[in-house]
Amino acid sequence: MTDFAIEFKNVTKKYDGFVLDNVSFALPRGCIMGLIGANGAGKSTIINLMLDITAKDSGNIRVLGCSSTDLTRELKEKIGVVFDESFFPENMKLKEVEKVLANIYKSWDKTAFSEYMRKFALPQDKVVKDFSRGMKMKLSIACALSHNAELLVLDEATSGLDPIVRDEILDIFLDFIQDENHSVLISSHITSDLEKVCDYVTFINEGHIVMSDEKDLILEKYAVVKCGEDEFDMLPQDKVIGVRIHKFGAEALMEASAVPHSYAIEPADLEKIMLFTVKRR
Amino acid sequence: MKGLIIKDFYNLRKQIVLYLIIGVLYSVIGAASTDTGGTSFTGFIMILSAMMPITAVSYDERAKWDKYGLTMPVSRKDTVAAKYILGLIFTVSGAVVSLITGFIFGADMEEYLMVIAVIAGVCFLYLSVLLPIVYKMGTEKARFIMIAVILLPVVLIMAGASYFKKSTLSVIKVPESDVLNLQEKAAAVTPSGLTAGFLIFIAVSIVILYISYRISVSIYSRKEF
Repeated sequence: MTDFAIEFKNVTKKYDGFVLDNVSFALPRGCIMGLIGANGAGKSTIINLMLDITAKDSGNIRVLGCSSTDLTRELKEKIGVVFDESFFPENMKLKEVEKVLANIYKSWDKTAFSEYMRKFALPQDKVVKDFSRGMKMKLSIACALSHNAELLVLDEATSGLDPIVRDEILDIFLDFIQDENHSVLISSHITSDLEKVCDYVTFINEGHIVMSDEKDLILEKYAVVKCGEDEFDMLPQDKVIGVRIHKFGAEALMEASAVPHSYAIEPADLEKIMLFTVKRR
Repeated sequence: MKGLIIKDFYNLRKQIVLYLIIGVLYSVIGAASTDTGGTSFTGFIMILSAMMPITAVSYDERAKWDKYGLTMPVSRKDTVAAKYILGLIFTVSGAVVSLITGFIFGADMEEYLMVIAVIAGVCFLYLSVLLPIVYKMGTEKARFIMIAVILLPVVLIMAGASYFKKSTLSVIKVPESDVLNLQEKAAAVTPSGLTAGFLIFIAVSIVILYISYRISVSIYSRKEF
């Protein structure tokens, strides 16, 4: 049996006007999973449910082998979380943030933290309020990585950062994952980031899991076909996921195996898959 | 949990300094004034101190700390307990500050001690009522109720007093012997008996504070962020 870092089984959560419906997926230990989907698709809900910040209506969630509703202190020590914004009290400086966290995490790693502070060049004398968005994100990430976490959970943590910083941070994740016991769950709508680092991709749309599989399998499975409108009509329509008809012809996302050889195909990337799936015909 | 309390202290440090100045000032006025009403000033710093946990909750709300904090190795119970402990710490420190200033300015310490004890009990009662409300509704909405909770007893006492003045006292002429009787009875209450009464009051208010804590925990456990 594979050891999963995160496992969702038939999880349902109802809100007014939104249902996370019967969601199942699993992240094997030692892997990075990307959670992609449009704004409001349910990515954050999944993460909140997993950390028991929000209560599920039904289903089963296991995190590091333990039910999400009774995560022990010892287990939470092993989870590092970064949200889309920093939630640190505004009037604290780095040293004070560290003092607070060092008193919350038993396994707080002072050396690792100061190492990240140096690496990220964060100002020691400014209060968090005066940090730029990028700096706040870096601080959150540094904190999540400074208590020997085994599981890193990032909710839109890279959105709002410039490409250079994002690249730096993705490298850190790849570094983190070198330990085969470590796992990462990243939710993002910046699909190119996820394409760079993920082993697994879970694609969620309007509260439903559209696909959840190894990234390479997903990318192999689909292809983009570019052709004239007449040619498009001759394609096996039941294998067409989505299509965009424009002046110069049609662009369609299809299951790669169903495309006739005479057609020109391009490999599909996550962004195309996401776009065409959300905007079904 | 220690980390949570440290965080609240960092958040509140500006208020602490401000309240300390105001509090010492009031305590000085209270202790220096010879009439017994002066001691009521002393309680000011303690009431302010007791309000600190509420301010701490509002800071958490503003920073959306709760959501983040819950991902850390602290339970929801710890998160709530930290605020109650904060209330205890501040009330006790408020009492100590009041006592020190009282001592320096040569207040009647026996009386002073009792006043402070009563105020501490009142602080605990206020916290017991307010914290669950704040957890249930958030500091923004709870503000009006907070004002009501603070003002209601005052209004009631004032209304009651004026009512009794109008009805009872003017209609019923209290025989002078009864008044004397009452005075004798009051005089018969020994200082030690009085102290015991105060201690019981504080003990009861601490029990109520604990019940309030349990209520807050059950409210907070159902909260989603």
